[in-house]
Amino acid sequence: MCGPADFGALHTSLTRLAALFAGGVATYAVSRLVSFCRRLRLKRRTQEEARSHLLRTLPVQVSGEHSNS
Amino acid sequence: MLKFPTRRLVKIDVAYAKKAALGVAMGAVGAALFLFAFPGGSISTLMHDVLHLPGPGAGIAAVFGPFLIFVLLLSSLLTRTRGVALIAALAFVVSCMVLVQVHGARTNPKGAFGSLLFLAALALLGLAIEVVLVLSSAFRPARQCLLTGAVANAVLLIFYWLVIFPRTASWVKWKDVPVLMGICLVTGLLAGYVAWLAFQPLSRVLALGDKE
Repeated sequence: MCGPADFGALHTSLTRLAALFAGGVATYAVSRLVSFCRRLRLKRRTQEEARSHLLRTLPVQVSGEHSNS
Repeated sequence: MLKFPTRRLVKIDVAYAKKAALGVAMGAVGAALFLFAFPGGSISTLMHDVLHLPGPGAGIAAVFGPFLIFVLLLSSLLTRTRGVALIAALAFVVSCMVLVQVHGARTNPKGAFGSLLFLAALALLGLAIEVVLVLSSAFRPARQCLLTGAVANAVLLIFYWLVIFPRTASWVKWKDVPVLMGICLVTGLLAGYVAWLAFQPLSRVLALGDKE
């Protein structure tokens, strides 16, 4: 009724499932790493922009203070 | 006056075509993955010679049905469009036929892979998913997925019992029906829940892709 057992096919199936699982885990890990690097780069760029903005605005304020006094 | 509706119609058609293309891609990838991961005879051996489950139908109830429900339900959830589960089911059948005929992928003759009966079984499964999703729209999405998974898996198993297995294997025995139906409902619920779990991060990724 159920046909002859094919343990070779079952072994192949388990090997391929393990390979697919490993591939999936590796892909997920790489995607997480890429998103982490992107976030880190974005954060660094934001900090640099904030610093440069501060450096640009600071002398203006100082000169403004001088003119007021 | 006439320009606005025409443009809108074209826009809707393009959007639907994109979603249908996603369904086709998911069906095709699902078929390729299934035939790669489960070569002919592996499911049957696991069910009857390792787990000692009764048959016929244990493989459909525990492996094939849940796998299909995961693929079809996920495609329907990701596109949020009616008819995409059916499109993905038909793409799965066509891909199976191509892989079996052209590539010579090994399948179990009991499952009638690539035949017209197989096409009918998967069309019925896709239709069942669409109908249950529409009828259960009042429920929360997670419960909707659970219900859809269980009902669709039962529909597929009953179709195999009544139409395919009498031709390819044998009629199911009455005493085996409760066990197999129990397995079918539990694995269907699980498949629906896993599709729901997979949908949440994937929808975020796809939304990010759309924005970019």
